[in-house]
Amino acid sequence: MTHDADILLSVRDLAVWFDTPRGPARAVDGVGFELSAGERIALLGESGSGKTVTAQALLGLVDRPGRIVSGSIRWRGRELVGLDAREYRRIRGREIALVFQDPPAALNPVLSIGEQLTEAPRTHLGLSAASARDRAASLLGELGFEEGGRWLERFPHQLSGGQRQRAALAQALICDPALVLADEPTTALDPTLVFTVIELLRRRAREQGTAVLWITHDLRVARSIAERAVVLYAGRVVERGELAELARAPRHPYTRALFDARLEAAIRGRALAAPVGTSGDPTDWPSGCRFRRRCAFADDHCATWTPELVGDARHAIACHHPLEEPRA
Amino acid sequence: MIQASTQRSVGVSLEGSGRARRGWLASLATRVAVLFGVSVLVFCVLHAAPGDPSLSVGLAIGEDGRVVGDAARARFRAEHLLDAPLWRQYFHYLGPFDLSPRGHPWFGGSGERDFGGLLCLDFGREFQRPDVAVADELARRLAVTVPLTLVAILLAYGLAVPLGVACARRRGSFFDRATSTLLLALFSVPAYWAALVAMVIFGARGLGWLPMLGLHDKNAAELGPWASAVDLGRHALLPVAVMTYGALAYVARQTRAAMVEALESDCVRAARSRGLEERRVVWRHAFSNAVFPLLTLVGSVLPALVGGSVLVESIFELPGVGRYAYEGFLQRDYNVVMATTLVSAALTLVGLWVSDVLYAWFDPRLRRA
Repeated sequence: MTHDADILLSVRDLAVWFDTPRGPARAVDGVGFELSAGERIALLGESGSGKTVTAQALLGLVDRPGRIVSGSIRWRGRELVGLDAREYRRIRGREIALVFQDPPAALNPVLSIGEQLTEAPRTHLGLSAASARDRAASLLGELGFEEGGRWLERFPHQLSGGQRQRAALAQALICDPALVLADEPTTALDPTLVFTVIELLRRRAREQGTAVLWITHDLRVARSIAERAVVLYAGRVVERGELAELARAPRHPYTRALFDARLEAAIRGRALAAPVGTSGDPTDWPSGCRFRRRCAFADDHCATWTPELVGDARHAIACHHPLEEPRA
Repeated sequence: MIQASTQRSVGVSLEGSGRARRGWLASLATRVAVLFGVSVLVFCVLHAAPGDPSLSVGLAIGEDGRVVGDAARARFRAEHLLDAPLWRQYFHYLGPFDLSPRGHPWFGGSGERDFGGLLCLDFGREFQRPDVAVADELARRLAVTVPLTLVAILLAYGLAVPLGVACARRRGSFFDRATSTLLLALFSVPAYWAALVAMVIFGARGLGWLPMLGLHDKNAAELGPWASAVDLGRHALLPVAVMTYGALAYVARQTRAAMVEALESDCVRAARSRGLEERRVVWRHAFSNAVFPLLTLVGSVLPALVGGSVLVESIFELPGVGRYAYEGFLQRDYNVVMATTLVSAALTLVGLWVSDVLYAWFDPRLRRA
């Protein structure tokens, strides 16, 4: 078990609502987890479960009409919710970096690769132009660009698709952040590059203690990068724990359905047990357990009482009728 | 004039850059050909319009009290080839040979003046005032229009760009909505109406704060340098304001729209997520992507510089180019209309070229590898 001192990030009861004409859309509504240095966590869930909004909230980049309604985000013991803009900028990119869903889109088409890679180290680390360029060149080298410095003069359109993806990754990693938020970057990445990225982040986690929060719905990717997982459903944590444990014995019906929905399972001839329908309207979540309308085990109790997250760091679950049996 | 010629889309301009890539010689040749096309077209349209420059000739009252007869008009018509076939008139205008009765002997002239016309860079003389060269008068008129329009354009851009960016950054706020409404209202107000209202309010019949007509006071010659500058400024204030507001509203709305889009793009959100200063995110990352519609507008600025505003110059009685073209057309002075139109066309082409060059400057994707 980790000591409190090692905890990099501690999120408690985070709620992010978006004001709409029909009332607040409760995109994130009571999410909590902890992350230590060097730890790699997967944030799992289907679209609309609040994964991306959670990542935006961590960086303080929730755009209007969204707002953090309650909860706390502590980074190295310091509260980030309500932090003033200047202080928050010092954390973005330098301590917590974001890799976008579509990494190449993070490159500005009209600025050179060199400018886009050196601006953050010059701002955050106070490097001179020359040493920022050295840093950028060596990171590009590490990411598989031959003669990294040669690429700094180039513009994004002069790079191949794979090179653009790696350059965008370099943008996020250039200041050696302590935490990398990866927002499903592998959906848009080349399959070969997925492996490279995962390898790189694992190595950074090992050597520099870089923590990773990997947002995905792809369990195979999650298992190759993460040790622990937080499963989100309709803006809430439904299950949380060590990924191997979750995969072996998922106890929340939703987690189980998510694991069963893997393509491999379908290929092997098993019926896809994907949850039917969608999670619903975030301005009007079901009362009680938000999964109940799609759950085979739901009863009146589920409609009345909101299940609390119960358990320990190894495995916690929010369900009135957890599955007891490890699945066959 | 600025408003009317700002509708060119971004796509057209990108195409233009592709054309420029074929080599500057080819593109120069294309542009010269376009100019000739314009000269033929305008010449034909002008001669198709009812009336001709001889209409006002011969209406003078002679010393004996009678209307001077048709003889003067006939002489005038012969001298200016007004009865010759259109192609002959055009080639007389184009040059390099003078085809008039006094022209080159090869074409039956007397040889007093062998060469002339556009190819000799000669815009000819005014029909009504034969001692005035159109080029000289044009230069005098440009000296009025160019500074006024330049000030108006710089003011419009200088105010509109920060305003548009500020609106985009505070999108949906009260400031944004109030400004957008005001800009739309401004853009919808016709310049001639605004000019007249301004005259009523500030002129002698209203508050009497500002002089209304011309560029100088009657006693301008007696004023010292400082007083004469103040005098000029007081005269120019309203015309410049009227020329500015429409362009300002248009450019600000364009800037706002482009910036809203840019600020929401992934690369700007990524720049923000890297913790860069807000100023850098807005201007270096977002604005450098939002600048392109404004570059397209730059292409229309140059012709506006010489074209000026016919309406504004007429209402405020400013001796500028726009008014020159208007007067020339009223008197069917072919040489004046041709000269003002051709200079305007040439500057339109230069403006397009400048906007292509700027596109390539700002967008690395258009630069040659």
